[in-house]
Amino acid sequence: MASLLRYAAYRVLLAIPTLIILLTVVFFILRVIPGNPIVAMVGMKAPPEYVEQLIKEAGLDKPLPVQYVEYMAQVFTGNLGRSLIFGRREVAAEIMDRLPATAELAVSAFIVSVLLGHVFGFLAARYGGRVDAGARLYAMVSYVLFIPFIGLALQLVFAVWLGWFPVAGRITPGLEPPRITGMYLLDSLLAGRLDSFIDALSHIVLPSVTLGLVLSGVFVRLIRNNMVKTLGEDFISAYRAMGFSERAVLWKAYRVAIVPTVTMMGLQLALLLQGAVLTETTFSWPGLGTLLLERIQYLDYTTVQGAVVVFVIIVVVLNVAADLINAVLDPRVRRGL
Amino acid sequence: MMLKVGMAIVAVVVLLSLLAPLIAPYDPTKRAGPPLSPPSAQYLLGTDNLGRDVWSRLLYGGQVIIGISLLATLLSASIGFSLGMISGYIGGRLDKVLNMVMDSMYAFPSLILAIAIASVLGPSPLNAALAIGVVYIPTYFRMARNETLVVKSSLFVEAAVSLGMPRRRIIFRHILPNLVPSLVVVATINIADAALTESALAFFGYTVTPPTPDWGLDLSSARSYIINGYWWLLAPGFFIVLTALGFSLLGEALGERIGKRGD
Repeated sequence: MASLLRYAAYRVLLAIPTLIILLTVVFFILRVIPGNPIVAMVGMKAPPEYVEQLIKEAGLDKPLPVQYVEYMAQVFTGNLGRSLIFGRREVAAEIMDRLPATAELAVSAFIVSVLLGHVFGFLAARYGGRVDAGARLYAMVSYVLFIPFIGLALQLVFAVWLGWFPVAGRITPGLEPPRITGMYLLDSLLAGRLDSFIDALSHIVLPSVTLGLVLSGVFVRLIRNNMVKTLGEDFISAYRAMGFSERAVLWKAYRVAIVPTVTMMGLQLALLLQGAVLTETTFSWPGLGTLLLERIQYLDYTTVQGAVVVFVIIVVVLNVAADLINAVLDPRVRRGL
Repeated sequence: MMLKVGMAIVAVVVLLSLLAPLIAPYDPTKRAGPPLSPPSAQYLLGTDNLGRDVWSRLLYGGQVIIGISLLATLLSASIGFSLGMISGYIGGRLDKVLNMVMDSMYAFPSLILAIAIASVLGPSPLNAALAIGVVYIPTYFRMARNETLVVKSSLFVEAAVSLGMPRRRIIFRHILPNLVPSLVVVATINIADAALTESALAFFGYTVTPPTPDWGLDLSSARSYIINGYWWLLAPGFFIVLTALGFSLLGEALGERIGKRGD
């Protein structure tokens, strides 16, 4: 337990430079490259007095080093400024409105991809030969499936032609459950609204299958390779020699094989998040990704910056979380300090 | 097998787009017939909502996506690879800092970074190539640095150092040639990633401006018509997948040949 706590502290400390580096990269992209981002975004379309006012409000009239300090202070105090449009809401509030939708999509897609990955990866390692070759092809093809393409294709077949699921959106208007966590599936269950739950579920099937399918290839490979490696180890031969049934042996191998894949799951976060941005756009899913792209269109500079910063925070926090889960599962990780 | 299929796909896609001016039956930017006509002998893949020939747009669109992806790959490979090699060889504090920066960037979703860059640079094919090129620098940096560290500790490099060979000569004569095979593999696989990112940027409207065809952009205009079942508008999406698959197959097969797997 003590070693786990020490590892946790060490891992959190290690995340701080990463966070600062990424925030600096974002600062560099959004402020240094364009010279003046608001002019770059608004372009020739707005009257100069208006542009000047926006520049002042976003604090972009100050020298870059001052801006950098202010920006970092803003991020670390959780104050992301106010939106430049739409009733000037707090950027943090805008983001909190959208975050649960992205979380709901990402979690369900992740579940789909892990399930597909485990089933196909296991089968590939178990049967080898053609099954293995097929799983390998599946892994390669699924990775290059361009999300808008596969998403639109699924919409066409399962929503337009078969009519099994709604084409897009998150829920039928009017059926929204009372907001508790902001995740419709969870909230509708907590509020005991079965109609909302079923409606939300039917909306999330196609987007999460789309995203889950694209991510699953990586898991197929991981599980397959780890299973094959584990099945070749001495303790498996020992189990076989001891007369355990093939089923029992496979189960033991599987339990050992999945442990290292947890670390690799952390590395899939980047894929999951960027996939979510594409999936949200394809399915008009009102999440963080659609917020980012919408606000770029509306030239809402502060919200764009806020959304990218929140993506940075999510990546850093979830990476730490993945490593901690790994440390809980595998004592060698935490002792290897 | 993988090598042949990959090569065949890449060859077909590249040839089709290069030969677009010769084989495209219609001007890709002009109305060729009634809007939303289904595929037929006259319009191989039907027409889009503005009556433009989908097949002709597909051929010309290939030039855009392949051009941007190759340019981006060239950019990230040359910067990332040289930085990684030099940083790995010299080591020290600079290497530590650079490595940390690259690792952090590597953990971040490249598409979101590319969107941010493209949005401040404004939509244009060159800017899209720049945005994609920047976000893949860490991929090459990590590969070049890791391999340099391995080669650096080998006997022939130690011998060269003890013979008093200048650093620059060691890097170019002894380190670089050993890294080239991995560079080719990683770059080939990376073209697939670059093509997917290009398509995403095009889908969001950051590459070309209409009426110029680009597969991602054409797919995004198909979105509004898919609800009515106009399936042939998905053709550019299929070609995006095919192109990316071709390059990944080719890269993986090359990797197996030289006994190294791409990251």
